[in-house]
Amino acid sequence: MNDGQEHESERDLTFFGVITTSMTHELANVILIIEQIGGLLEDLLEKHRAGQPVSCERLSVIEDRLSRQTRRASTLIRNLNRFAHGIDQRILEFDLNSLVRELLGVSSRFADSRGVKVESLYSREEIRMRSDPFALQQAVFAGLRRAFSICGPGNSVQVAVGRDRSGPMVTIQGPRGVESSTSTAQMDLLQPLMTKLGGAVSTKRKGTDEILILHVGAGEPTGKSSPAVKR
Amino acid sequence: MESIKVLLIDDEEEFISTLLERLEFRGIAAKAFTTGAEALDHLKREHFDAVVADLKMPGIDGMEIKRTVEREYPDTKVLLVTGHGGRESGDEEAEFDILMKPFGIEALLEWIRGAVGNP
Repeated sequence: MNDGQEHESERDLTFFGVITTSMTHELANVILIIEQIGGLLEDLLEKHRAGQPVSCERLSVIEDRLSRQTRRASTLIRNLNRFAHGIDQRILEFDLNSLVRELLGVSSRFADSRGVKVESLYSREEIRMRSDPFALQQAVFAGLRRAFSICGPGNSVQVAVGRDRSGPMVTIQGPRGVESSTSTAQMDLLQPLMTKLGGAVSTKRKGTDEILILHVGAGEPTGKSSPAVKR
Repeated sequence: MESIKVLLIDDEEEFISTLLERLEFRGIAAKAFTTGAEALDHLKREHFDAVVADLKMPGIDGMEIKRTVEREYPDTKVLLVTGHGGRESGDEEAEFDILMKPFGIEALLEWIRGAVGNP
């Protein structure tokens, strides 16, 4: 393994770690809530044993909470599993809309923890492309983290998937703020990723916003390829 | 006898609403907020014996809440709770009470009783 490959492996591993850590933290929160709900049911049971009435309405509210958290855990596990399978095969044919949707699903906690709202806009038609979805997710994630860092809490970031004359693209728009070491580091991460993908990164200003444009490359990225698989 | 008043702050709404009910079962008057900003705003209007705040939250986090409460309301005790594996770099010198998630209701009650006294 040469230095470049080693650097790529390290970057892949870091991304994998960051996402899985975030998702398992959220899963731990869900378990914590379920534990507390279990504790509340025990409290109500004690109350009932002591001869005090426990209303059906109250139990129904608790059941609702439990169902919501169970669904939340189920979605988290499904997303985590799909994300983990993302490295099974590096070069695939996929729909860019689905890829960005999945990424937003696994990275929503980053936006929440920074107090940033993410709005997404997908193209009406599928944008099928053959590329490295794992590298592409890293690129979009770096763009998101850059936008979160620049815009700050209480703001919204819009992510749009589309296509222009240069090919498929993902744009990330948010209020223009002050560059920080985090935003610069994410930009430094983006450049080689976009080169690897055969794409390009650029920015433009629109009013008080900045738009990060990721032309994600329509062709095969550089590196090894394997037979196409639809996902 | 007047009951102990506790202010709960955590961005996981269902976590604090459940915790609030469990504290009320035990004779503690609790109020809950999902943001530090709302909680600090409410503190201007109502006195609490203790504040229990999540360390990591969007916007105003637990550490900032602790500093504000200690400065503005020195009689109010603060407990920080976290599921993030303990103190982080920069916190080493700070002295504060911290409870690791997950925690049982008895551990929380023990801290409340120790900090504020029995209801």
